[in-house]
Amino acid sequence: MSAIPVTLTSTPLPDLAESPLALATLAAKQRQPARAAARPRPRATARPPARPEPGAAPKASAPRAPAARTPAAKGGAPRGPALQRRTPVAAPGPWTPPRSVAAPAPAPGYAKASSAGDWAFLSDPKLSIEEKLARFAAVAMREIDKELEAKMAKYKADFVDKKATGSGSGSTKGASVFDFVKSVVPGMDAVVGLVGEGAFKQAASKLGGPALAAAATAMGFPELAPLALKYGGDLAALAFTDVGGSSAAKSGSSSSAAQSAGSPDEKMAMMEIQLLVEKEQRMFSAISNTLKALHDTQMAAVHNLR
Amino acid sequence: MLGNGTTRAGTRAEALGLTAELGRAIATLAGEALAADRLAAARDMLEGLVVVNPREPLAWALLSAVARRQGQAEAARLCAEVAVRLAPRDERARLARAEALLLSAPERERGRAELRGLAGAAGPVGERARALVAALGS
Repeated sequence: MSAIPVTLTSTPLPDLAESPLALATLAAKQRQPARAAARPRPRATARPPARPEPGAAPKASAPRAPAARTPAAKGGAPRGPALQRRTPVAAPGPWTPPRSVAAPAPAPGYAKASSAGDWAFLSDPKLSIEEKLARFAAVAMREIDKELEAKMAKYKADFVDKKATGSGSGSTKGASVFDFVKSVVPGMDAVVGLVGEGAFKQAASKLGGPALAAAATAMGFPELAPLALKYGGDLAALAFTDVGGSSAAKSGSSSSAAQSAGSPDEKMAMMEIQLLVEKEQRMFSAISNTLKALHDTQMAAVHNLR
Repeated sequence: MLGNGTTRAGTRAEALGLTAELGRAIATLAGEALAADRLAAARDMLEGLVVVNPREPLAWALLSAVARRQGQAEAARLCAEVAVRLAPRDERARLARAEALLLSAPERERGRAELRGLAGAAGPVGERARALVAALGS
């Protein structure tokens, strides 16, 4: 009978009456812990960044690639010069896309822009219900915004351009869609007053809709985020274009654009825009109330624990 | 969440789905607020942005400028150093650090040297650097 290495394991020694095959299997199992012990231990993974002390200023977080992600850190063979990481102009983050994916240099620390379907988040199991509701609101409002943009473009084509080609008599100061919106949407005056109308127009002309929405949220006016989404980029010029009055008149009048709307068709067009804005507000209110109800439910459970 | 704006997977921005376009646009809006002397609003936006994404060098550079305008030299220096650490070749970060160094007497000469180095840059950064160099008589 072949000698079976006896090691200090929890595996009971076989009965001598067992078959040689079973004995060999058991011997192999007993040798496995020895092999595992002899195997070189893997390198320690990257430690999480140290937490700053409370109240301390944020430390300079020098960009460090996670240790387990680079071949050198994994203990693999050192790469040649062609594959060594070059010093980037901007510090890369852990989101750096794999080499197989051709993508422009992404900014550090941000999420990748999603290229999947707008409603794909509904089937994402990693998202909470609150996150899905928030994204639902964003997508639904985006759809409404597209409709609103189409209505505003149609308004411009039907009434603004036609009046611009017509006689520019008088020196009456016209009003723009922006003035109309200020009169329709509560709180808009407050936001514009925060930054000044000139700066607001400048920002709206320069920034995209989502940036204005984020800024509106950051400034404490989340209910204006849907409106800010619509007044970004190219539409800023449309929103601030005067309707009626002389061509030299600039928007800034506090008079409502509806006052200068003459024909019934024009009034109807503005009413449709107003209805869409109200629809957006109702959607936002519904989602907001739902989120609040969910939060209250969770807080009730927390309070009951005490 | 690790408490320093990062998670095991990345930053809060990544967890929230905040894209670079949004982040940079917020930083731009904060820059405009700073230019319009609305320091509190700029600071709120920038502090929020650096909390959500601590790896955004532009936000740190602008926050340094805000702190400098508010007379907080140490905070301005710290934010500028963070910006330069994140983007050593970013001219805006280097300009923010140069201006923050000017606030400290021992580091003033180093700040002047950095401004002279930036004087050849193009765009508003170069213009400001040249203006400061001329004003300092360097």
